Amino acid sequence: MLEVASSLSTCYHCGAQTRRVLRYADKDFCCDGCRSVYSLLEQNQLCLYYDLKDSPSGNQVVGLDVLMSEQSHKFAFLDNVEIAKRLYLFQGASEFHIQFYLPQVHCSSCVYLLENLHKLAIGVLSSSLNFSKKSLNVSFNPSVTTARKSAQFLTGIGYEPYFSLSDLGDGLSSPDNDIKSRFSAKISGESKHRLYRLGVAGFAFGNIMLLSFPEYFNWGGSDPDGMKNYFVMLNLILITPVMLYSAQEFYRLAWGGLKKRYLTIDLPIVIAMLITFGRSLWEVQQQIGPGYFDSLSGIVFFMLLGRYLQDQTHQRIAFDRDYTSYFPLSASLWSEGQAISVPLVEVKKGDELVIHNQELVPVDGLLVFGAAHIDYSFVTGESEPVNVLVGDWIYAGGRQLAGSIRVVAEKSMAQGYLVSLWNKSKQSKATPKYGIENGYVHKASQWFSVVLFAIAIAAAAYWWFVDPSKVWTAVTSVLIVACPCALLLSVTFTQGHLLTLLAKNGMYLRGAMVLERWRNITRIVFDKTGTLTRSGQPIISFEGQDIDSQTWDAIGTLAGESVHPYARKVARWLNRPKVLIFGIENLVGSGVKGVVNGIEYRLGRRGFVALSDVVTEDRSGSEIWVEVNGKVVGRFVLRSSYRDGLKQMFENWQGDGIHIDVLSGDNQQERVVLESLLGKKSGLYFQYRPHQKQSFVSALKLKGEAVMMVGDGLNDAGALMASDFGVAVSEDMGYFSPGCDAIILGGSLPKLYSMWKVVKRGKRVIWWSFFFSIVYNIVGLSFAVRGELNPMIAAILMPISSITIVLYTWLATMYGGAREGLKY
Amino acid sequence: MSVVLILMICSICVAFGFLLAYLWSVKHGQFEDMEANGFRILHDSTPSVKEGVLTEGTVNNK
Repeated sequence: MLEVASSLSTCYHCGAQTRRVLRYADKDFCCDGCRSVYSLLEQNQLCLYYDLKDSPSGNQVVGLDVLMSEQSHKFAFLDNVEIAKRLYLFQGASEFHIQFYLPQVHCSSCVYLLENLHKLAIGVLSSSLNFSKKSLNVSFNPSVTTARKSAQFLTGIGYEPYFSLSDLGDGLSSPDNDIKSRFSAKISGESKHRLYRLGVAGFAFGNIMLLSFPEYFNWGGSDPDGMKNYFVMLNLILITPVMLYSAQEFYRLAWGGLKKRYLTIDLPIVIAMLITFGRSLWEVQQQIGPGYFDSLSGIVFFMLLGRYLQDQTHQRIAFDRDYTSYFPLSASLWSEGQAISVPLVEVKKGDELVIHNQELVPVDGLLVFGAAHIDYSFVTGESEPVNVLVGDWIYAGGRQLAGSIRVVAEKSMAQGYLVSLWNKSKQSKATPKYGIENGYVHKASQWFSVVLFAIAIAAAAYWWFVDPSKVWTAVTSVLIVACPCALLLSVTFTQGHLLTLLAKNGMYLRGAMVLERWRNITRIVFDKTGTLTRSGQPIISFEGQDIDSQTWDAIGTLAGESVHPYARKVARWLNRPKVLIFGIENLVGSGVKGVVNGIEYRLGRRGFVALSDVVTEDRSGSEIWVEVNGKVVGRFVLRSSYRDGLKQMFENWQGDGIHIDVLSGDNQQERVVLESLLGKKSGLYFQYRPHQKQSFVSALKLKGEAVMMVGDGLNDAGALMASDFGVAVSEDMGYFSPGCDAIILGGSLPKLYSMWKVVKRGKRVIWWSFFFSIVYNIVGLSFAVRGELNPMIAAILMPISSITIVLYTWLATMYGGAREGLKY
Repeated sequence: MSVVLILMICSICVAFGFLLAYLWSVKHGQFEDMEANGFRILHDSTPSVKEGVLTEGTVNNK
């Protein structure tokens, strides 16, 4: 039922635009895979999927029948007992549990479809999806189906599970493995404890406030039943878990800082808390007053809330990934004419490996069979794929782009070039970047603590001579009033709001501690390939004679038959109906030829076509010449496409006096375009190797510059690590990105300047809210000292001051973001 | 003893019940995935998600 429609139509299942239409049940489909998934959903009455779907999924549907056949090599490693054992969460007699990571999950229909898996796939008992982590827990009956079949089924309906070496845990990957596993139980346990503490503090805070109300109203003038004492006792019972349990985090941090002879902001807070608690106990015991349990529980609650907001981890992003999350789980070993799947770590020198189309080369080795066309862009930063001839070296980390090849391993995985690159950049981390920091907050709190203790001592000394009975009262009052809680609240809430604002706009920071370093940058270094340019989406144009429609069909079809990735991109760009071609011949490294209606067509590089009469600028590597019937008719030119809005962003930075450099692994051919984007002032450096990028950044730092590095691939890992603030650009959060301080989505890159501006202003927000609360405290204190403040108003003003800080920081951040055009 | 005190104790007990409910929900992972449940409610029939019903076997604690 294949029809060729004159206009584009939309695939009912995947939403792709297509000219070739497969009609089934009055609906259009782009391919057999989509049609088979639709019929499967229809049979099982799961068509609600299409009602829930809010956007085209864009998931590549492979087709169930294709994948279910045993020929498919994908996921063969799941049949390997050694590997599978480590992936199962649970193994029982009639039930196995496995977790799949599905980066394609994006909307409500995904939840619907994936949790109805037991209706679709035979042997699957149940499945539950964690939307934030994009992970699917599947339990299946091992006597009916296997993990491999489940993975293949998921791929068939458009959710291809992503596996990497790091999934195996510590045992099989490198010995110096310090990464947190993607499904780390420890992290989630930590955040759970924080939620417990927050809940307990909130509970105590609310009830203590309620029980303190009669006190605020001075018991209506009289307390005939002697209720006061009972209420105070209840408060005491409620505050105990707050002090013993909820506030643990502050004790731990203060003590940790003290042990390292480092004055953290937590130390004065803990001192103030303990003194407030002690004085309250004393007052209660002496029956002088009700104590300060309300303020104490409120402060603990708000500080915990602020820290929770600030440290909310972006679960789907792992910053500390190393190379093991880039490597596949297994390799296909070629033995006696067939491929068997073995764990990657077991590959030895001399093993012959099969590397299929689009697979990663896992080890350094020699090519022994096939046409290798390797994309090293992630490793070296060069955007041009490299042709490798039989007998030549192929390095780990490259991606094979054209058909299957066979490689004899010359080194084991851990000795490969990619791994050495990684380890080198790791060693180069000379200055510890991720220690305790937070620059000015730290400085301010130290200054604050010193002044605070000085005042307390001075007050004690004064009263010692004037009226020794008041020493105790004076010192505790100073310490209670001057608790740097307001500072901590301003800082944590502002930073928390900033992180949320950035995340909503597509930038994810490692944590609040890197904000300060980002604020202070003085110089920016950009990588070109994959950072300023969009990876894998070149702009294609045709330069040449007018060609009639039939010839276009032939060229489009022939390009689709080529093994060269650029030719395939041209085929997709042309999107022509297919015609019959005879005698297709792929000449690796040259081009492809074929005969249509007796006319020979050739597509390929400069030397492949009869190019004598045409003299043009040489753009070798990114041009494909077209020859029809022995005559050159033109060429396709592929240019890397730059992201939109870069020029404006660069101008803004430069307007702020920040110098920008661009480092590229490629040759000079893009110089003109880059100059038009950046102006003449900026430094453009071409053919930079990974270690050169790193030493470039290090040299700038030696000159006293604070460098922000923006890069994408592993080739930038060293430079990112060496910089003061490293930003990794990623097209898809789910995949590997090198170690860095922040990850930004490719599409959000032009907003980087606005984000930086907002973060810079964040400092002002912190200072203003801190200033307000100090003034507030001083005014309140001066009234209180003179006994002019109604205790009721004083007690209500305390929590209101915290809430004011929370509100102010939120509004100020939102306003700052809106001014720069960021959404919140 | 005033009736206010009894009421006060009652109200704290009720609040304590809510605290326990909150702690229980945290423990059972209701705060781990804030998005999916919003989608699940749209579905007519919720899939049967077995939780904690493990038959005999080995658990892999990676």
